[in-house]
Amino acid sequence: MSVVKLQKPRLALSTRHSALLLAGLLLVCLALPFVASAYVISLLFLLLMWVVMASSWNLLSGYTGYVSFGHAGFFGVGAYTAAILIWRAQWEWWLACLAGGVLCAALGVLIGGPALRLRGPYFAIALLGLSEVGRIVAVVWEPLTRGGLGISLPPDAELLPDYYAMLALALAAVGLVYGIANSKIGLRLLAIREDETAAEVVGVPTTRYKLLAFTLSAIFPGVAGGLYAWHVSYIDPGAVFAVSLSVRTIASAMFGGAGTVFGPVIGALLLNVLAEVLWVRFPFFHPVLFGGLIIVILLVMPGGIMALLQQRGILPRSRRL
Amino acid sequence: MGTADAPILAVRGLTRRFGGVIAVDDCSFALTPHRIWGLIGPNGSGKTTLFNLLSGVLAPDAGQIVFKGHNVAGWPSHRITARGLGRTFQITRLFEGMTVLENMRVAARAADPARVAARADELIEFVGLRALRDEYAGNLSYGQQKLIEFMRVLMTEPELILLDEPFAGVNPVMENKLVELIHALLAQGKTFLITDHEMRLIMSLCERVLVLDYGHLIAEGPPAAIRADERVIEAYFGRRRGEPPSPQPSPTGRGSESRERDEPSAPLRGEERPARYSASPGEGVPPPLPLEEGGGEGGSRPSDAGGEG
Repeated sequence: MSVVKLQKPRLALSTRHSALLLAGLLLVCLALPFVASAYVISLLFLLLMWVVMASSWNLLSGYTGYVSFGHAGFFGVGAYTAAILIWRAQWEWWLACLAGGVLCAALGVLIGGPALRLRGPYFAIALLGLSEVGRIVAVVWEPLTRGGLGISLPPDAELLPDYYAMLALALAAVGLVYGIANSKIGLRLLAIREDETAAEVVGVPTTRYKLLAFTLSAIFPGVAGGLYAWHVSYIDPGAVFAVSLSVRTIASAMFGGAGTVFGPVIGALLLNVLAEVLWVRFPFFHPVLFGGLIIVILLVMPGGIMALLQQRGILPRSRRL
Repeated sequence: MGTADAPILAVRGLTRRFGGVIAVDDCSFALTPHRIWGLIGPNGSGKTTLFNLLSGVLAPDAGQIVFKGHNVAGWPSHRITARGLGRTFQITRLFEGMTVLENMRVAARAADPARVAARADELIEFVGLRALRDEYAGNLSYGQQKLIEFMRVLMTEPELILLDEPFAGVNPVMENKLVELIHALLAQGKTFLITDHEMRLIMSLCERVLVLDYGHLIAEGPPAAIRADERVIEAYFGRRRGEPPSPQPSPTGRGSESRERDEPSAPLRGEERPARYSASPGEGVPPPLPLEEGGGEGGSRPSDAGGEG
C-alpha cells in the first residue's frame, strides 16, 4: 500500500465543526424525502443500500485485507430469509429483515472459522464459491424458495418507511466502522492487514479478531437484502445472489478508499450515482461503460478518493476519517 | 550452568523438518533467567528457525518447549507472547502503513488507553525518536525501524526477549544504544537470547553462548570456551588438513539457504579442507576462532544513515 507522507491538511475541521457538518448532512437526509419525487426516494434508497454494502465489506476486507467476494451471498440469504418469513409466516417486514441479519451473523460464525484459515485469492475464491452455493440452494430448494420462479411479496406502497429503515441501517454500519476504526480493535485489524504473522507475535489473537470482523460484516448485507426484497416486492436467485453485487460493492469501497471510515460512503454514493447516470444516458451500453469505469478508477486511484485527498494535503491523515 | 535458578526456558529434543531437510535437529538446552544468552552458528544452521519455533511462528515436529513451567510447543504466537516471550525479526516487521505510536499501541497489553499512551511515549522517548511518533513506520530509516521494533516488543511486557540479529545493518552509535538498552532491561530482570553475526558484540555482551550447526546444538558455554572450542571452529572454518573429522551426528540435509561466508565455501562433513587452511607452520594458519569484527561471518555490513533519529 502507498504510505502517506506528512503534510499540513487544507481541510482540517475541529471535532465540533465535524459534528456540525455531520448533523447537517443527517438533517438533509431526514428531510429530503418530503420534497423529493418517488423516483428520487427510490434512488436514495438504493444509494443508501450501497453505502451499507460497501461499509460492511470494508469492515472485513478494508481493515483486515481479507478480500471477500461473497458479500452477495449474505445479501441473498437476508433477502430470502425476509421474503420467506413475510410470505409464509406473515411476519412484519422490519422484523423479518432483522431476522435475515441474525441468520447471516450465525452463518458468519459458521463459515468464518474454516474460511479464514485461507488467505489471499484462496479466501476470495472460497467466499465466491459459497455465495454461488447460496444461489444454487435457492434455485434447487423449490418447496421453500419457489426456485427460479422467485418469491413475490405484497406490493409496498409506502416508500418512506423503507427509506428511513435503510438510512438507519447505513448510519449503523458507518457508525460501527467509525467506532471500530478508532478503537484498539480497529488498530489490531489494521495490523492483521499489514502483517498477520507480526501481529500474532506481538500478541494479537488474529483468528478471534478476523472472525469478529467477518461476523459483524455479514449482518448488514443480511438486513439490507431483506429491506431490498421488501422494497422491490420480488426476488429471484439470479437477482439477489448475483456476483455483480459483490463486484459493485468492492468497487464502491475501493473507489472511495478501503480501510477508511468515510471512503466507502463517498465511493458508494459517487460510483452508484455515476452508474445511474450512465444507465439513463446509455441504456444499451451502460454495463460496458460501468465496467470500464471501474477498471480506470482502480488503475488510476488504487488507494481511492480518500488516499488521493490525503496525499494532496486536502484532508488530514486520521483514522477518524 | 551451575546455578540455583530454575530455567525460564527449557528446550528438549526440538525438531523441525521442511520436507527432507531437518532445519532444527533434536535440539536441547535450558536458559536460566536474568542473563544474556547468545546463539551463534553459520548461516543456515537453524537459528531463525529455532526462534520461529520458540515464538510459535512455526510448530515443531517433535520436542518440547517449556517456558515458565508450561510446554508451549505448538501454541499460537499470541498465547506465547501473553505468557511473556517476545521477539524481534531478522528483517524488521513493523506495520509500515501505521504510525510509530500505532505500532506500539497494537502490542500493548494494558487496557487503559492513557497508560498505554504514556508507556509508548516513554519507550519512544528512550530511543530518542519522539519527533517521529506520528510518522508512518514505513518512512523510518532501517536503524530507526530496528529500535522501534525492539520497543514494540517491550510493550508486550516480556520476561524473555529473543533478539534476531539486532545489530545487523546498524551503525556504531545505534549499536551502543541497543547495548545500553539491553543492559538496562537486564537490570530490570529481563532475560535475553540474542543471535547475531556480530561476534565481537555477542562475545562481549553474552554471559553464555549456544552454538548451532546444521540445526543441532554443538556447544554451550562462556564466550572464552566457545572461542576455543574445536567443534565451533570446525563449524565456521571447516577442518584443518590432515585432521580427522570431529564426531558428528548422522549427516542431515542442509537447508534451502546457501551458506554465505567470506571464506571459500566450507567443506561438508567428512570432506577435506582446502589447502588455504593448512595446519603447517608458516602457512598462515589462522588463530583459533578470533571472531573479531568482520572476521569470518556476516559479510559486509550496510551502513545505517538514520543515526539516532
